[in-house]
Amino acid sequence: MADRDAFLMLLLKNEADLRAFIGSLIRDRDAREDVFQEVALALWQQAERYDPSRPFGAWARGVAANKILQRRHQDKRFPIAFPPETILAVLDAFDRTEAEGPSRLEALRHCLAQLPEKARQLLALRYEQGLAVKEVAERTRHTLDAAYQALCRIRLALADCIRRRLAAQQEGAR
Amino acid sequence: MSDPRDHALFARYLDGLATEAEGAELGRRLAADPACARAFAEASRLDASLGAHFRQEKGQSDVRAVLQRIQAGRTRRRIALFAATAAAALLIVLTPALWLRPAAPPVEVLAGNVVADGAEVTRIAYGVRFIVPGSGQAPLTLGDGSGASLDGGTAAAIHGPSGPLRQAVELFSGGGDFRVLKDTGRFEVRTPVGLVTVLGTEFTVRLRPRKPTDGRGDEAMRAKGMLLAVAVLTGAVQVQVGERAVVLGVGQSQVFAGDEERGPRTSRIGGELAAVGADSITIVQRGERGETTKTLAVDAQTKVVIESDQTEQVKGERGEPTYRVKLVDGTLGDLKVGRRVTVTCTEDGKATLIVLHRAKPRREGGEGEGERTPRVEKPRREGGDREGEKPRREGGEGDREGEPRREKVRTEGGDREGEARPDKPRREGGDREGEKPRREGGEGDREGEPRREKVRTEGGDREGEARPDKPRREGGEGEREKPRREGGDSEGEGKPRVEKPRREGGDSEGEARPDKPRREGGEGERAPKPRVTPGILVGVKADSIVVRVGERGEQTLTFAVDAATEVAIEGVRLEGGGEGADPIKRPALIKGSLGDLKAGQRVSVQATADGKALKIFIHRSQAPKREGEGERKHFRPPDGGERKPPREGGDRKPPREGEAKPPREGGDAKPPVVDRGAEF
Repeated sequence: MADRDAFLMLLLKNEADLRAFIGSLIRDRDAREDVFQEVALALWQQAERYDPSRPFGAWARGVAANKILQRRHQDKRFPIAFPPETILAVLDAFDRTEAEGPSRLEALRHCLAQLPEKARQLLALRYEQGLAVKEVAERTRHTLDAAYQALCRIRLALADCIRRRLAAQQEGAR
Repeated sequence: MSDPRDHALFARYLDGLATEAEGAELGRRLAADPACARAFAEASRLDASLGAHFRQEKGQSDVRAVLQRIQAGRTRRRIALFAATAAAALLIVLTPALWLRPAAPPVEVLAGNVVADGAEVTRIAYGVRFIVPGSGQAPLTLGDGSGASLDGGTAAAIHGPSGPLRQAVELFSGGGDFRVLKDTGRFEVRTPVGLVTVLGTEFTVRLRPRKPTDGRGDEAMRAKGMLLAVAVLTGAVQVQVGERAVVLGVGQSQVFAGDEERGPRTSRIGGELAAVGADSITIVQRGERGETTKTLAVDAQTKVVIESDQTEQVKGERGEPTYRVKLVDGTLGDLKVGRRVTVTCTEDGKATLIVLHRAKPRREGGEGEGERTPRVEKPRREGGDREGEKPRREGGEGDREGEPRREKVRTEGGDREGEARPDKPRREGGDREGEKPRREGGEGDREGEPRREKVRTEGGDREGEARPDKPRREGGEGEREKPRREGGDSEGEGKPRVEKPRREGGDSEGEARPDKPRREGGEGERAPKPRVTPGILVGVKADSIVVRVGERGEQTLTFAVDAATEVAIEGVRLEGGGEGADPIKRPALIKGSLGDLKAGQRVSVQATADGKALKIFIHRSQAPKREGEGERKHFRPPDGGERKPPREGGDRKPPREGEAKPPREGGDAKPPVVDRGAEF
């Protein structure tokens, strides 16, 4: 793919999903950031090899999966919990549930807006400030389990809301 | 919608709360169930989207500023510049480039606040450290006519021409946009992470804390480590980080990690001091591959700590009490030939930390070095499976660099936890699935002693050959209080054995095994102890279980179970991962039930002499199946060759077309490659 600008836009468009894929396999923040940067660099360097007729996200995830497998193979202490077959299974799952981009993000924003303030604050602690659940619990003076359960409930509610909203959008489009 | 239990597992994993057992379980579920994997992908996407959304909200003002400036025509570039800036956004950096007019030297502050020596200034002298307070940018014109627009919170100093260098910006923290005029001489941006050298270009440099911190100052950065983000808008720059040089061209950007946090790469060596000099030490390592000697440099910076006879109780990350050997400061003078040490050293062979281990506990008449190690905290019983006791892992998994393992001192059997074992290469597949949990206190697991691979089953005459069918001698020599040392008691070399040899679990007098030294344990009459039998669960019924024992599974044992039978599941939980530090794997036992027992599990059964199971420990690793029982092959080839690790996940579906098969877990095979037209 010769057009670097277009490639860059594709990369940016798929960044979140690529991060999601890498993050699903590597929970250590530094390690996943390292891998993401390696992958971004590899993608940029191999932009010429990208076939625009194929989904960019799947290509990028394939590169990421290979990087992760490679790191896992080279470094036994690389913080990944999963064996290769799981990595490939997750790759497959991501391919089959390709994110729908803007509409999904819009749905997320809409659903977040529906949440009670307290729930949003909890999410902000976890995701904006990047606190671990334990730290969230300390900040909110909850037990670890209570904070974890609260976050679980919020995320499940969000997932459900997003699903319903996307379904409604699809219905509307018909 | 997949199983709600799966969602709970996803959540625990994504929140960093999953134990290793849960992680392994999740891995199996994902590999086995595509629906579960899809649900996991969705959960992961939501998790990532939430992170992106909240971070985006936080940084949206930056984006708006870019757009406003572009719209206001304050930048000459249009789409191309935006695209290039977007490249920077990809790697965290996102700020506008400003065009600045050249001004008279040395450095002129065009706008914003700049404070040097405690006062706001409009001109900055070379070499003076200054800061840009607040959140706004401060555009500067440098002495050579180049421009820099420094971010709020930046601390920097600017240096004038010197030799081939025409201008240098020394960045202590923060960052900015730079427009460097084409001219002779080098223009440098020096940062604690690396050096950016340019000839004529427009680029941004940002130093970011590696982890989120409350402070923006350089102190916080130093404490947490830094990232150097460089994005090039026009021209090219070279970024030198350590020995690595990267050239970034138009539209390219990259983030470089500083070494402060990680420090230089170090490794640990354990062994016996063979020589101690004023500026070097020599360590002998005795391992399975023979003896190796290493000489390491020492100097005044080399820290020496000594394992004391005391232990201290500290709180684990979850508040649970953890015991560890108390370390006291020592000096190089404390190093004595013959003592066991674990040395953390740099790649260039300089010792940075020396942990002087306690002398081995004396056994049988005091062959040791005289420092008898006291029994501390939960001594291991045979099988090492006392409830609540952490199973030992091999290879010091999760050990932090430079820190010896010293949790829970175990004195019996000479296999003290706290003895870092860096000299032993991690076994492929070790610490993960397929690894055999350690059993039997002290199987020759000391520095320099090869570790026996075989699992000794109670009642067996030989390693791996259980003899459980023979009745135990009740109240025998009372020695079952003490773990039997396997693999030889090196301290007793050359010493006659004091006590008559005992055949473990054997009835026949005279069938002693003189090659198996027995630990001093007293001959007193003691109550019979329940014995622990490791093996593979081959049958589970409501009131009994059948366990195959022995390395080759040549015998089976039936144990009665009832409601009083306790079940514990061995696992490892990850602690500390996800927040910067590498996760530390800590052993954990999870209370289970009889319902958790499944055929094929590797278990240790603590049972009374009459065959009633008191406790059943389910080990992490899956049992290898015997030939003919499934896809897995036995550990030991029939020809008696070297044992190979079992193939992990042997029952999974074959990989998709075009994909290589996954490698053997922990094996040397190359990882599978996803062929999507990319090279690595």
